[in-house]
Amino acid sequence: MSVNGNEHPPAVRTRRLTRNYGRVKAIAGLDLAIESGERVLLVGPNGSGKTTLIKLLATLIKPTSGDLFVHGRDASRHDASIRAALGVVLHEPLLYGRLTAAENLRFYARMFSVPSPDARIQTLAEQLELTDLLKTRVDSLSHGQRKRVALLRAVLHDPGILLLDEPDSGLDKTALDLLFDFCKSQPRTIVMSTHNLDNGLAIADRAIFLKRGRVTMDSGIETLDREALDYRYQALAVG
Amino acid sequence: MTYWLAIAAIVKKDLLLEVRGKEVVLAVSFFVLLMVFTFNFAFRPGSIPNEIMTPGVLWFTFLFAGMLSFQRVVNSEQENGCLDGLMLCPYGRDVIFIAKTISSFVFVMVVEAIAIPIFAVVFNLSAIPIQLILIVPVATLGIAVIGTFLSALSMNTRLREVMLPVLMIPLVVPAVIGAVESTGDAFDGAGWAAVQPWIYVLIIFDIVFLVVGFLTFEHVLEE
Repeated sequence: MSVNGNEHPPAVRTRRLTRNYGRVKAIAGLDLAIESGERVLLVGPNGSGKTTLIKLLATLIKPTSGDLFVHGRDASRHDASIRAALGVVLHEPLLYGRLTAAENLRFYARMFSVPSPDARIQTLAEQLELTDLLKTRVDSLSHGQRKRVALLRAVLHDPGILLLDEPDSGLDKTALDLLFDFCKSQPRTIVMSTHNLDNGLAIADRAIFLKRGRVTMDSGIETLDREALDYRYQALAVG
Repeated sequence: MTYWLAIAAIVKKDLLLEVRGKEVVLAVSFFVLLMVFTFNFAFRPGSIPNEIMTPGVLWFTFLFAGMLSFQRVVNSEQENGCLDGLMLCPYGRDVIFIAKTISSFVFVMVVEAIAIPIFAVVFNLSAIPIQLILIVPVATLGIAVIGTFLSALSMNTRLREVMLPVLMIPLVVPAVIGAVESTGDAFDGAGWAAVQPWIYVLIIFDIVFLVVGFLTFEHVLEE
C-alpha cells in the first residue's frame, strides 16, 4: 500500500524530512515527491544539504524526524529491501583498492544477487569504456576511471532509482561527456547533485534548488528560469 | 541471495584482501613471535614453572594480537568509503557484524595455529594438550565478537587505537579467565571433565555477546 493510496506511488516521497547534525539543520522539514522515471537535478552551494539528502534517500543515515517512502514503502521499516531498488554514487568510489575492478564488481554483484554477473559486468563495462580496465587494481586507476567503475557498480543490479552525489567532480571533458551520456541513456529515476549546471540541466527534467536544507526553487526544466537559477547559485556560491 | 550467502561473500572478500595485502596474519604473527620471545626473557629461568606461566602468557598474547587484528579487519572498510558500500547492500547491518566477526575469528585462529607450537617450543612444554582444540576456538570467538563490535564502535573516534583496549579489556575479562583456567587445567593434565565447566562458561559468553552485537550493531554503525 502506498503512502497516498495511489496504485503507482512516487519513486521517492519525503514528508517533513529533517536531519540535524548537532544544532545544525542539514535538511529542514523537506516535503518532496519524485515520480518514477523523473530525472531530478539537486542544485545548491556547498553546505546546502545535497549530500545529506542523498544519504537520507539512500538510507545510509536516518532522519532526525519525518518520513521517507521509496516506491510507497516506508524506509524506516523496509530499509534493507528498499536498498535493492537503489543505485548510489557518492563522493568516494566505495571500491576496495587492493582488488581489481572486476573483483570489486563481482563482489557487489554477489551482494545484490545479480544473475549472470560476468555478462552483466561486461555489457556495462563496454558502455562505460572500462573493458580494458577490469583486470586493473582499483588503487592503480585514475580518479576518473574510479568514478566510472563506481557508476558501473551503482547500476550493476539494475536499480529503479539512481542517486548520484556530484558524480562529475574532478572529471575531464571526455569523462564528463561519457558520464552524462550514460546517465541520459538510463531508463530510471535519477536524483543527481552537481555543480555543473550546464551538463546537469541537459539530462534533467526538473531542478530543485536547496539552501540551508530547504527547497527554495523547484521547477521543471521546460519552465525553468535559467537566469534566476544562475543568479541564485552564483550569489550563494560567493557567500 | 540469502542472508548466509551475503555473509559468505563478505568473508570471502576479506580473505582475498588479506591474501593480497597480508596486513593481518603476517604482521600479527610477527607481533606474537616478539611477544613470545619477550616473555621468555622477562622471567628468571625456573622462577615460575612453565605450565603455570604459559596459559596466562598465551592468552595475554592472543588478546593483544586479537586487538590488532580486529581493528585492521573493521577499519579496512573505511578505505574509499567501502563501509558505505556494504551499508548500501540490501541487508540489515547485522550481516556486516556477523561477517566481520567471522573474518576476525579466522585471522586470529590462523595466528594462534602458528603461535601455539612456537609457544610449546620456546616455553619447553612437553606436549600440547588436546583440549586446546576446543578451548582455543571457543575463547577466540568470544574475544572476536567483542573486538569486532568495539572496533566498529571506536572506528570514528579520534583516539580509536586507545579506545579499543580501554573498552575491550574490561569486557573480555570473563572470557580470558575462562580461557586461562581451562588452558591451565589442560596443561596440568586434567581430563575433559575438568575443562568442561569453563568451556560452558565460554560458550555462554559467546552467545550473550553475539546476541548483543546482532541486536545493536545497526546503532553502532549509525552513530
